[in-house]
Amino acid sequence: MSLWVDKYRPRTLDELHYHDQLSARLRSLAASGDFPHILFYGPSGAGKKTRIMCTLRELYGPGVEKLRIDQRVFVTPSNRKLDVNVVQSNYHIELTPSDVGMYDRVVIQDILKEIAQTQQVDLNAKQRFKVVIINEADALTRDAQAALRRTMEKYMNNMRLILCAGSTSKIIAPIRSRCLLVRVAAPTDDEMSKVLHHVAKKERFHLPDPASDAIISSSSGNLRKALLVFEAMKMQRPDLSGDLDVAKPDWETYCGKVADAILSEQSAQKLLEIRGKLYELLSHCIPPTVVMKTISERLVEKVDDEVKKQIVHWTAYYELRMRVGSKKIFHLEAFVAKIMMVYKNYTLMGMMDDIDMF
Amino acid sequence: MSTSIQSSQSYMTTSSLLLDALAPRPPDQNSPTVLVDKDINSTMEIDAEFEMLEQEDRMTKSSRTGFEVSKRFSGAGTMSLNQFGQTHEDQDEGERPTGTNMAISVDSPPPGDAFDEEPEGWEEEASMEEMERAKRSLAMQKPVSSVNTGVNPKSSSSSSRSMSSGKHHSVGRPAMSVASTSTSEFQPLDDGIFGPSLQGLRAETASGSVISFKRRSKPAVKSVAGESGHSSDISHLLGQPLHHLLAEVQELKSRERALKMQKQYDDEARLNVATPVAGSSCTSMWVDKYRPKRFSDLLGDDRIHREVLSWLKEWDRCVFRRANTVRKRRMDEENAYNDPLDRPKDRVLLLSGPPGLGKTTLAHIIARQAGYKTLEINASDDRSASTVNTRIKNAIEAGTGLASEGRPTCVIIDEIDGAGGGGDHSFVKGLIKLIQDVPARRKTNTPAKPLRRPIICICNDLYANTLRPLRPFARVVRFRQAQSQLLVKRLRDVCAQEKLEADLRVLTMLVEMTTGDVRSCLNTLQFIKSKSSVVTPEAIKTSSVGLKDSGTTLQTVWNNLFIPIAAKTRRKQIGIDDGKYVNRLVDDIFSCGDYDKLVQGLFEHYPKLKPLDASLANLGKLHSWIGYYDALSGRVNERMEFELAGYIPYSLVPWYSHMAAPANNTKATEWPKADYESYQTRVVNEEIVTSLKKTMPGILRSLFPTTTLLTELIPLLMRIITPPLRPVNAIIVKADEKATLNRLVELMIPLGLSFWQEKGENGQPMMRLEPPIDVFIHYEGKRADDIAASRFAVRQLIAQAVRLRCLIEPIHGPSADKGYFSFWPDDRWRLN
Repeated sequence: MSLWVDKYRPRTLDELHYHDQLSARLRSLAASGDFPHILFYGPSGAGKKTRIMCTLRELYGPGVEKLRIDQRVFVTPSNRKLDVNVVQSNYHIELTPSDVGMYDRVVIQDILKEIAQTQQVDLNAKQRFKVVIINEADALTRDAQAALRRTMEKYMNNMRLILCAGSTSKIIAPIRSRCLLVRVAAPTDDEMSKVLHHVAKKERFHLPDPASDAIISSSSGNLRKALLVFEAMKMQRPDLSGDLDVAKPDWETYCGKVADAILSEQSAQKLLEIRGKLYELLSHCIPPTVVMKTISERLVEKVDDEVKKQIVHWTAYYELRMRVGSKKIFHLEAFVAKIMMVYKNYTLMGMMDDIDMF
Repeated sequence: MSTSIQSSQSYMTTSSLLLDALAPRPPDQNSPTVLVDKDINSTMEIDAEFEMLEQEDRMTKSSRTGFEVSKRFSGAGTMSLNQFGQTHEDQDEGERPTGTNMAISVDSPPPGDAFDEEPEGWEEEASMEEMERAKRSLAMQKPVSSVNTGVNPKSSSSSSRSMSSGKHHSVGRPAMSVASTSTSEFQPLDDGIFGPSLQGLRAETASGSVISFKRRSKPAVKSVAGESGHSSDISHLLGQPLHHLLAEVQELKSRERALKMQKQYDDEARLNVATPVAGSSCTSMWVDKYRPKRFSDLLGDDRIHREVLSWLKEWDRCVFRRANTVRKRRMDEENAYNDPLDRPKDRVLLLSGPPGLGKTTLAHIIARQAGYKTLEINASDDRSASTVNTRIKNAIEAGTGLASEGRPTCVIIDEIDGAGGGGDHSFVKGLIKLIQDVPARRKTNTPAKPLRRPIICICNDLYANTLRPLRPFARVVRFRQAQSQLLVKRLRDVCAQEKLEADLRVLTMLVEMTTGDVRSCLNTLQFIKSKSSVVTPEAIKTSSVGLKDSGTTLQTVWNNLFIPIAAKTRRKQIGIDDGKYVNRLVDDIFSCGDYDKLVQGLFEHYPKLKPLDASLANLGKLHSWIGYYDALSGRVNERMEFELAGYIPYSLVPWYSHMAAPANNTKATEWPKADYESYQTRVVNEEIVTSLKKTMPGILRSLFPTTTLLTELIPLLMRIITPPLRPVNAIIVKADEKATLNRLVELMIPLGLSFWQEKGENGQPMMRLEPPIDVFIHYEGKRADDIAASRFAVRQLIAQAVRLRCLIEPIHGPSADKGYFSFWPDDRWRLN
């Protein structure tokens, strides 16, 4: 018994609720005996990981569900020891670069080489190869991605890679060209409500439509989040009726506060106050890019159409700077100050910068 | 050059230059032969030439390209190698070949060359000319080498002869001779230089090539040898032509003259060399010359001096076993610190202050004043923990011995902030152990020898990291700049004594410029004195040597960037032009060096200042400069592109143009800490996430990477596990509440969450969630509104239920999936 996200997760390709065509294709790929490297990409909570696990099960049978966690020690070039917990089964191994930090190249190289150079010993195994899943492949550093290139080709006999990424834009072209790209789109509202009702039915209670609509609209296509919200609401208020306030992660609420602060006053003092809030978010380990994106989304909800364009433009501009630079707070604050300036110019003078000039 | 080479035969294989120089010359019968003088000349130049050859050899380093130089002199054929002399002048005298191995064997001369072609006459003028020439060429070389005034080995009776350069070297070039004689095998077959059988020396280099050259013996031996040669030849005198004998006589005479002249020249040269050395040694640095010798000479704040002295006097009871009557009563009243050895409470004195104020001088003078012998340990000494044990301990424990002239030792540790190195074996750690009387070997129970002597430490930066552990044990005395009037007065006295004209205005300016650094003032004055006898403001301004490159503190740079210099002070200060600030600020920033902290301080401070522009436009520009700085420093730090480091200061200068305002001086820039605090909190929180991940089942781990774990799972999970339960006994709860409780238990166990009872800050018992992921729903210390306050009783209820469930199914757990529990730590369900 566990969280609904896990409990009602489809285990096989047949159980998947949506993207039937994709499921059929994955099934035939698994059956073909000529399984390629695959890059799954799509928005968060669309079901990439679920599909990956289903595909693995299709390839190897229920044995892949028997997960174990291994503690591995890697030695970096600077002789530092890294302890990494690796989730693996007999048939596959999972890597998450964010667990490793900046030394992902070392880990990737070590693990891939190890897997690639050992043959499958289990004679009953359905496939000769093992699978390496790389979560958040777009968070891989460039070095690590480059380390993947040749290994992917060289050790094709013993290993297949399944990459899982938010978007393909941060994955270098050589890797993209070596993979079969599979896009997993976010479920539509109907599909989501179908899933929610399915869960409700399994849990033997009735999900009123207003509640399901509220959940779906708040989770914006992220089914995983929708299910968590659903469960939270059910726990908080078992009857799911009446005045519903949808459970929302606290940091999102807080980002909304930052957006409000930006719009309420544009001054250096306010900037100082907002900086405190930004630090608060960062110290809660919320990734700075997520912070920036969320603030920008909240802002866009609240301003006039003309300013929206500007806000989106500057968000993109400062997100790039932030990725290039190293001190996140500088760029977050620069972003906030810029938005303040744009907004102030607009409200006081009705003046807009011409963003094409930049 | 009038040369008289009758036959000079040589060849060499490597150097075309030398080949040219050594090319056989057509015999010039008419030119006068200057036997002695030329010989001096030629030997010198042969010498030079050999050096050249050897250098050549060394340079090419090819063992096979050996060379052979053979020179044959027929009759009185003198070889003058002035060509070599000229080429030699280009040679670097400092480079002396040292490692050439020569096996020199004496070669019997080829008999063919007779001496019948000896030229008849020679002219005095020519000889003098040659002499001058020799002198000049000698002047190019080291004066020492001129000792070897060659005796002309080419006597009339010589058939042919080679001059041994090896021998020559052994006289003239000490350095050379060591090298050559140590490895050479001399086989002098015949010492009779003037004998009929004259030998050429054949030398063999390490590479196996053969050099043969004419031989010459030492001048001291010469006369004897010459006479013996005469005496041995006396029976043959009659058989010799008269003109040969006459020539011989003349030769001897001129040789004497040459020797004399050479000696005279040597003396002159030695004098010339010696004079400047003596001149420089007699003047000492003014800093040393005018260093205070007594306590009353000291310049500066008397209170500081007295403070230091009184601390040292506090040791008297311990060291000299005499009561410090004057201070005793007051001390007892002040602090009732009773040391069994009557030592003061702070066993170390820490003098701190900027350089050049006389800290070291003060320490030495006061230690002497108080009757101690000083032992100074400064940055030039090895400073490690072992130094403390060896040098300092020995000095302190030596007591009053002969070496200390009956006085106890006071250790002065200069520049202690430079004693780097952390860890247990650092110098400062060792010092602290010594102060605290920690025994050297921990195992043994022998009590440590307590510290019985004072230690004075001197540092520039009191807050250096290395000093942090020492500060609590030390009495800190901060040095301040001496009153500038006093300093100016002292400087004027010095100037008067050194006969340097300087008026008060100029000296005041100098003192201001050096910010009271006496050492720097004196050095500047001495520098000016070396050029002129008047100190002018211009001279001070231009003598940038007086300005030391002192490191600028962060605070100074922050102020410089935020507060513009008032026009008045700008005019007063030296070297700052109106309106130009970039170079000045870049210098400041560069000398500060700690760009990261600097920017952090600027960044944290600027919103507190009044912006110059209400539209925030200059803030935007400022932020793009920060972005630029960040990009630069990222490149430098992460990609090691240190070429870019030079531009970093420039990326910080715009802070001045965008933020600097005179009003800013009301608010001092604070030490940046927000970023570090945030970082620390983040690290703690990351640790919490890691501990949660460790207990999470594998499938959840793979479903939720860290990012989604933080952004989605934890905030919502916290809502899931805090249902609105009533705090009632588990037996009487309603059915639906029981279902909720059960569900909660089933959720929490696999996730590894549990509640633990703890005492809160105010002593109240509270239930703490473990791992404490509830920090992630607390922003600014407040909990989100939609989560009900989880009451103690409810949490207790849940905790009991969880524990109960774990007792019932300790291994397999409520879930069928064993995998969940394979990593379940044992002590989780232990009752507390």
